[in-house]
Amino acid sequence: MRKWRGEQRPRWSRLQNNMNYDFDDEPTITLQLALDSMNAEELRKLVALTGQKAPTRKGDMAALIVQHLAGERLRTVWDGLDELQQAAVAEAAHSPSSQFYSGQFRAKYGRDPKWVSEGKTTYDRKPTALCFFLYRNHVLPVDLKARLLKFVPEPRQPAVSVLDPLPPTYPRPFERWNQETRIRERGFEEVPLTVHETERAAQRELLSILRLADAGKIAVSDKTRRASAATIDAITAILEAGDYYPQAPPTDKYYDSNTGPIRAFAWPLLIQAGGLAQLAGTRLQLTKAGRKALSEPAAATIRTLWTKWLNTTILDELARIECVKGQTGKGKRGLIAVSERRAAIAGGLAECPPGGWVAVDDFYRYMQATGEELAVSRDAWGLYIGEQQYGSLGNNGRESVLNMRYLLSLLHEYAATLGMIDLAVIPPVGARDDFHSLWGTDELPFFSRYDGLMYFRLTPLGAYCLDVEKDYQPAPIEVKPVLRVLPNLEIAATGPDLEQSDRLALNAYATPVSDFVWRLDASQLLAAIDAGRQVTDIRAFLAARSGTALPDTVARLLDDVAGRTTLLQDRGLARLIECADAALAALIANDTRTRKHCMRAGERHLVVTGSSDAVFRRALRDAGYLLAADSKRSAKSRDSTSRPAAE
Amino acid sequence: MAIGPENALIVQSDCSVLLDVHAPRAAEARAALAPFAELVKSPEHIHTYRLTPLSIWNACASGLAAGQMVAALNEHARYAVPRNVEAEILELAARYGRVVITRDGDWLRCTCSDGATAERLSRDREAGQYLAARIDATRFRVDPGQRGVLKQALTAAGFPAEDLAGYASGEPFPIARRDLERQAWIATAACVEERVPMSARRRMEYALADRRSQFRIAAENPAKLARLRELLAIHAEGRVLIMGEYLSQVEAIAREIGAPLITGKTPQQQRESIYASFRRKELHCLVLSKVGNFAIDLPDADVLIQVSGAFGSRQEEAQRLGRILRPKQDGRAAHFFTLVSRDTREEEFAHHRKLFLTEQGYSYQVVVAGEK
Repeated sequence: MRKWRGEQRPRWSRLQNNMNYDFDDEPTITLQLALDSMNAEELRKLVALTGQKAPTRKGDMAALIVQHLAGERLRTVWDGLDELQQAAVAEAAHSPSSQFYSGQFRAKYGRDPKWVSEGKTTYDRKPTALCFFLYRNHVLPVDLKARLLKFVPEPRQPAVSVLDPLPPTYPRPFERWNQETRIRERGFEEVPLTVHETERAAQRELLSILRLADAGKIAVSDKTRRASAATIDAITAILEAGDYYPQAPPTDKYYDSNTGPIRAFAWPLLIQAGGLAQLAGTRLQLTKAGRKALSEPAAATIRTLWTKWLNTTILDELARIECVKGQTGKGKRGLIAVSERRAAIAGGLAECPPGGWVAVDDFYRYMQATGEELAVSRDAWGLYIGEQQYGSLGNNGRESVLNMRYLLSLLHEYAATLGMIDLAVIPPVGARDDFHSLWGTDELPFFSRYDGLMYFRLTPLGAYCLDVEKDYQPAPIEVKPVLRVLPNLEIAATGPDLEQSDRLALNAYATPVSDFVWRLDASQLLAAIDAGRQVTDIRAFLAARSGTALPDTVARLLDDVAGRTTLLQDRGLARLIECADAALAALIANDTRTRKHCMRAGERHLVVTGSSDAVFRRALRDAGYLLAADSKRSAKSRDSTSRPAAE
Repeated sequence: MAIGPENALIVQSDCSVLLDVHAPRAAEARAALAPFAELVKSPEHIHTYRLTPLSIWNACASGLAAGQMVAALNEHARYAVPRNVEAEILELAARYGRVVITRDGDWLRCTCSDGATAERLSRDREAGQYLAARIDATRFRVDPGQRGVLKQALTAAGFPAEDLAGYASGEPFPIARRDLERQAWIATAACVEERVPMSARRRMEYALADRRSQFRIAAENPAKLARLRELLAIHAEGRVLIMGEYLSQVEAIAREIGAPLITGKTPQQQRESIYASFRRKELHCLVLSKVGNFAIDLPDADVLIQVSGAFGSRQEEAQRLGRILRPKQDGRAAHFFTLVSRDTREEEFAHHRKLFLTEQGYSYQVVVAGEK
């Protein structure tokens, strides 16, 4: 549980508020100081609220206000506030900083407290009694605060609203021109929600991705670390039920409403950021941790992936919102560190009750209400849509479009991919209209590919990754005997749901015979082991997927193969030396100085291990001989003879 | 019944069909499938059938329509039947009946469905020679004596004849051994592969030998004798046959355990005398060379120990197993032991033979000396 309060607020969050309230470094103010900082006109309006005739001198007006709030009269004035105003005073009184945060208050209570009376013009509007408590920049004087704390109750804590049950549809806003009535119609239309339950799928997909990487089939850019288009296709093919949204060929080159890959995009980055795979040439190869992850519970690996993702700089999720320009230019300076942004969202997620559906918009408001408000940039003027001048996102209110999209991106592409949250989505086109007023967005089918994310639900795996739960008790996975391992070493897929990861594993361990049959054989098993797999993994996989003990013939085959993998050990490279004749070879092989470092190989040849190379050469010189370079080898090879290498 | 996970058949695009014997309606599915598919193998759990042209045409000959075959597959299929399989069945079945053989007095008449088919068959190297005389564009006269070979030739040419000339052949009755076991026509058998290590010296001899000699060195591993003695002790009450590939080996064994030996050189009279003693249970054990693979009638043998075999010969494996599959009066199971030298090529060959038996439905156990 993490809440940012007052001084604990992260730096970026304080900076956000500093744009409105410049009080972080303000010395503690008292009521007298606050009144002294006001001008006569302001004081006169405030004095008018006391019902007494206003003196002419500023000092007298201030004294009158102090007197109005003295002693028990403070309670009387507070009692005269309406409920929302009392809440505003309570928020400031119980805040360590004594400040009133309007954005946070609005997110929590849904609207602002009443600061001024109704009136057509500014002149007509008079301050309300709330202004006796919160002065310039919404600060509560410390002396008032101390007295208020004696009777002002603590404000209610914000809570995440949970939907029970999840509605089957989402009211999508629409705005269209009606040709017949000649009027522009606005309203909401119900769109069916598609639910993606991710927890188990993510754990299976992780193994599939690791196996794909192990097979050398994930090609990524050495600069961006993003997967190639062909790799994205390969990954999409092994994702359970494909990616979130199907891709269709665009009918108009200027208007492509495809979302592009989401999970398929995220997985290669996640395993790289998590240290499970690393670049070798143009392709990923599993690290030691990655290989270990193949045989470990996927939940623990996913937790590690999430933890490492929080701090990774391999990608800024904002970069996935392609319509926002300036991210690598002027806008880059103002961007808040991705780790801080992610930490804020993770903190908010940890507050969500596992298993309860939460509307993303409610979650965003909740984060603001708790002070875990999300900000992508401290200065969004450098970020823009289309054109830097007209399309700048620095105008007041436009940041929220950006902040919300960042939230959607992290939730949809990474948290959900890792199985931490289930999703309820609608097609992203037209899903949100909060950006329609922005300049340059007319041609956009959606602001981000994640716009269709409407609700999410924290899974037990998510609670585990977020430290809400100490242990992960995987929901008991339904044992599906999808395979039948036969004594004739064949494996038949008999279950209805043979998953892609199962097929990948089978293809690695066994030879496909037909659509639903694979055959185990020693050579294929040895190839799989040579590629770094473990016999124990193979055995466990077959047992788990068949749901029964392995036939004796299969168990014996695995035992035989396992046994043979340990009989030969790689001891490194060696040097082969050809002697002029068999007698010389025998002489050197039996010489007391050289015999410890070489061994006979045939009649005229000696073998020297790499580690003995230097000492053998010295001993050979002591014995009166020198090792000549091979005259048949090229100059390049001759250079390398100084190093112990295979000949 | 619609396609569903409880169904017994998995139809594959290569025209093979898997039968899950544990499915609730497996017996029904087997009965529906067997008329138009050939049983390829029947290991535990899953049996494999194959749809072949011959199996389809046999089904057609027995009066089964293509639609019925497709319907049977669809009724019992676990997953959707591949379209190419349906098309293959319909295509093959459509060929049946395009050539019809009828009686025409003392002759037979072969009638083709169209002139093109008749022309094609008349020019076929095999079938053409049996079509004696052409009656008209689509009909041929056929010698009744050539009826069988003509039908074979027509089948080979891809146009199986519908024989309406009064020929009534006996229906083939394919029976898997496991089925016979269930019906108590033959005994049940427990198959065990015993892996016997070689001494270090023999391992070196094996390593230095050429590839062909390696098999013999492994086969004649003297350490097998010790294990053989143990097995004989375990089955002291049984009727034991010991069979081997190499004469020197079986002679040595016979000498060591004091059992009579039958080889190709053994006179018939002496053989019969030994058999008679064995039947009268005066003998507990017999040692045989590979002559024991054929034509031997030892109804009471219930343990067979093969100390060496002919490489990966499945035929030999089946013949040797058959020696002990006669039903036992007391219903006891037969035991089939194969002694194999560990970490040698003999293991590889034994592996092939083992697969054959498992595909026949026998459970097979592998025991490694020292691991028990």
